[in-house]
Amino acid sequence: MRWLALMPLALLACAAAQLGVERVAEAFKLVERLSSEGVDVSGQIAMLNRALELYAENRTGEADALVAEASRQLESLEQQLPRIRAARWASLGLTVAALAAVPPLFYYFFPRLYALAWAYARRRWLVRKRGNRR
Amino acid sequence: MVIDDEVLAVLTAIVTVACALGIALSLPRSPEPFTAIGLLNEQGKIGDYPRVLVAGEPAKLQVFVMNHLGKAAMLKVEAKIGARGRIPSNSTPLDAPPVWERVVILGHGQNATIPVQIAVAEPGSNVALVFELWQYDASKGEWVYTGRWCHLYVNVTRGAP
Repeated sequence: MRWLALMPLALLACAAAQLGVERVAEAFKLVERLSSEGVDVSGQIAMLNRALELYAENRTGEADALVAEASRQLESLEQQLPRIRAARWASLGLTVAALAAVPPLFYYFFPRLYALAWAYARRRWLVRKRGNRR
Repeated sequence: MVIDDEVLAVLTAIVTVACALGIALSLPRSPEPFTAIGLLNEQGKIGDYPRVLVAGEPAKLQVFVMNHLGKAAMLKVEAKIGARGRIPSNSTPLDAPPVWERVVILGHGQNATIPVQIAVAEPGSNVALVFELWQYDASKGEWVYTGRWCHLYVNVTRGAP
């Protein structure tokens, strides 16, 4: 008899979890899109995972609020996507340009800097004329 | 000149190679995409799995899942009860209803270890505890079997009356 009494509760929890997965799946579409563009969505992923746990515990209200907050943040990130993409490409371009510039700069400056360091290390040296030599 | 030309040429060559390597590593590249699932024991380690279960009593295990698809993925682990010769393949999931499932979202390179307790109701030998990995396809809005699964054969004995 106790089984029969618990059955509706179990079915209710199962239905809530199923509904929760569907709601999280809606938000996940943006997570997938943004993450494939290289945007950091780890915070939103953690929120959605927490929401999935809450749905499994039948705490639908708290879970819904988390999903809504994650969706709001994801939509905000989506609006910033062109700027984020441009910043990422600019950063990559600068990195490549900086690394490409190192060999010629090294070739030009290293002997000069080395000579300066060499002279600095010997700045207290005295040049003495050998007496017997002419 | 304080430094020899030959020495400078060798040093410049080393710096050039190092910079070329740095450029190659900093360029974005798509990794070989894969997902993984693994079965761990109760302590979260490989090996020392339960071999004999009592019917109705839960087997305590942990399932390890990993996402290396180059983007976030919503993954689902489904546990099913199979038998020797009745397990999934790389293309077809086991034709049995899931007795347990868990959904988790993982970013690229992330993994999760999920505790699981499964009870087998009926006694039997060579019962397969099957764990299948499913992935949510956001474009189709449905779950797709990844072709990854793991299983554990156990003998299930009748419990004390």
